[in-house]
Amino acid sequence: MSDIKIEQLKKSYQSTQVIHGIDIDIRDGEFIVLVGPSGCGKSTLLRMVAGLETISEGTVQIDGAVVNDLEPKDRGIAMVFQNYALYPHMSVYDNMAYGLKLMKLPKAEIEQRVQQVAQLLQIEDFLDRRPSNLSGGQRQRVAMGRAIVRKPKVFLFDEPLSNLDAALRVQMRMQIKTLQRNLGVTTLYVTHDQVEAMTMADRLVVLKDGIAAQIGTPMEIYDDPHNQFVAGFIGSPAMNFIDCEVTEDHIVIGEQRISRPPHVNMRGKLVLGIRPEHFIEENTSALEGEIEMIEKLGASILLYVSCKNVSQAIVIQCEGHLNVNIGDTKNISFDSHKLYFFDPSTQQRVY
Amino acid sequence: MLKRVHYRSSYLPYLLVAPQIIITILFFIWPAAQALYQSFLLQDAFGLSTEFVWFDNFIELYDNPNYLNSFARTGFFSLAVASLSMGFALFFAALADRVIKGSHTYRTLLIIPYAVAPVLAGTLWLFLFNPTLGIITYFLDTFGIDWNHKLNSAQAMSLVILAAAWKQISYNFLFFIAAMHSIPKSLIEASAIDGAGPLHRFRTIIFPLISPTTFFLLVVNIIYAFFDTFGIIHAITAGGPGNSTEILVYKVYNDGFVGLDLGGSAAQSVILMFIVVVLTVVQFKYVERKVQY
Repeated sequence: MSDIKIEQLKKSYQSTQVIHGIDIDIRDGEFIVLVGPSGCGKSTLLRMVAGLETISEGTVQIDGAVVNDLEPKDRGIAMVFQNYALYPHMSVYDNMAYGLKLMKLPKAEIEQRVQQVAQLLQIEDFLDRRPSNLSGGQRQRVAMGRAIVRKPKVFLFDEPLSNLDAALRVQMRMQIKTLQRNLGVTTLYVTHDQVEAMTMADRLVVLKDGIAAQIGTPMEIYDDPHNQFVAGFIGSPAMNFIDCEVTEDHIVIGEQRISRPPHVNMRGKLVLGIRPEHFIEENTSALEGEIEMIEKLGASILLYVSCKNVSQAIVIQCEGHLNVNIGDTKNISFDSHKLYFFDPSTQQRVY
Repeated sequence: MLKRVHYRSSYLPYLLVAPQIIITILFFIWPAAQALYQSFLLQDAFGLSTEFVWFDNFIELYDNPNYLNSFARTGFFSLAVASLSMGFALFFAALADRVIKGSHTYRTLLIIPYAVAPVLAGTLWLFLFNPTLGIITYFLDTFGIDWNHKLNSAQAMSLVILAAAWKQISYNFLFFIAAMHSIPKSLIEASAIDGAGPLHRFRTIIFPLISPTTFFLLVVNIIYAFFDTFGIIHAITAGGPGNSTEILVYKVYNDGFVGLDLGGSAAQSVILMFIVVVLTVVQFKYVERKVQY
């Protein structure tokens, strides 16, 4: 049973600060995903919890005890690395038993634990093979096995699926999630893939430039993003951002205007955000645009529509069998209750 | 697949490789062929009469206890040099690998001895251990050790081993540190999380993973000790006292150019040539297979 408390965590390399004070409270057994673009500090944060990077300021507590100055091995953690970090000169069995031998466990218990975990992960047939003779997915499972077998208080995953092909990634995603739920071990999981983040997390931490842009459940973050970055990062395809001006009666977009929905009570130059899946087929209060590009995904179809004097094409998700052609004129209607407005200078959400 | 470049003229490629071929023929193939031919000849000291004696020179070597002693001596010498220089190099590399501040300075300093010519290295150690003037001799004297490698054959052997090993540490260090750098950092981190301290980590992770490099260096060091130590030995002991530091390559020189037994000397160098060929083949065979994993 273990919770993690991260308080005002900061990290600097010489004069450059990369993590600017992050607070996260992680409950026992929770699956937390740290997500963000590359360079946002998510791996650094994870490695600070692991004890592989020193902590410049702030504290990390595991089970109520500050672990800042503890060696990685004394923190009760296990980590799965992006490249798996399996010892290439040892068999799968020895890879998994390495940490247990260092714990000075009796041989019989090591044997029993490794066998049990190998069975759980269906790798019992490869126990005497070298990692180089395994496929990517098998190596991934061995790396997980090495983590599980130590019975840690906390699992740390550093982009563990990014070296797998797409189909395997989806499959492993579910396996990891199921396994974590069954074992009930508190987990920190780093990824840059927002689909992975949405599907696996109990709660998400969206990081940007060393700051936690937002923390919440996947649906909270999807429905209620606090700023333009989070809104754009979470959700696929990404949210449209359109420069507009809200006046007393209208919302002006490029050279066109639509009537202002009564509940939109902001005024001035704003950024309108709307998700591709929130457009509706209706002819009232519509913008007009020309279809520039079509992406057929089967179940749905993505239209890239350009409007006069709007810098970016607007992406619209429609039903898959919609019969349209490039160059067609398209009416664009919004679900007026699914609009977001952002301040163009601070990028904070204002409505 | 390598791409083949096609030249329109047929002589240009030959022209381009010619310098290398000429140098190889002039300085390697031709002398080697000469040595091989010479080893079948018996010649008097003044070169007035020459007789073709087939394998007599080799048979004589086989029956010569001096030569066989020199063989054993060379084996001991090269193993001692290899293990000493590799041991120190590994130790320094393991430490330098963990240094964060000023690691470049450490490395540069450790690499410098490699640039010292063998004879100079020998002379350097000769001064340090000079029986009358040497500063180390002076210190040894305060511990009651009477150092005179000109009289004491064991001391002479230790000195040439020390000098030869010292010079090779840099080379080994470079390879060891490169090998350690090529181990993915995450492996070291994974073992740290698994609870391995630095020593255990070195023994169970780092050392096994650099073993291909270790094997490569072992062969290179043995070849070095067999051949490139001539200058050091010549400067320090000239094979003495007695024959106590006369390794094979030095005996080739002594018998041929001092003793003027050209046939016997040539036969010895043919045997050395054969040893190098075997070592090189072994090395290519194993290093290309990456040894053990």
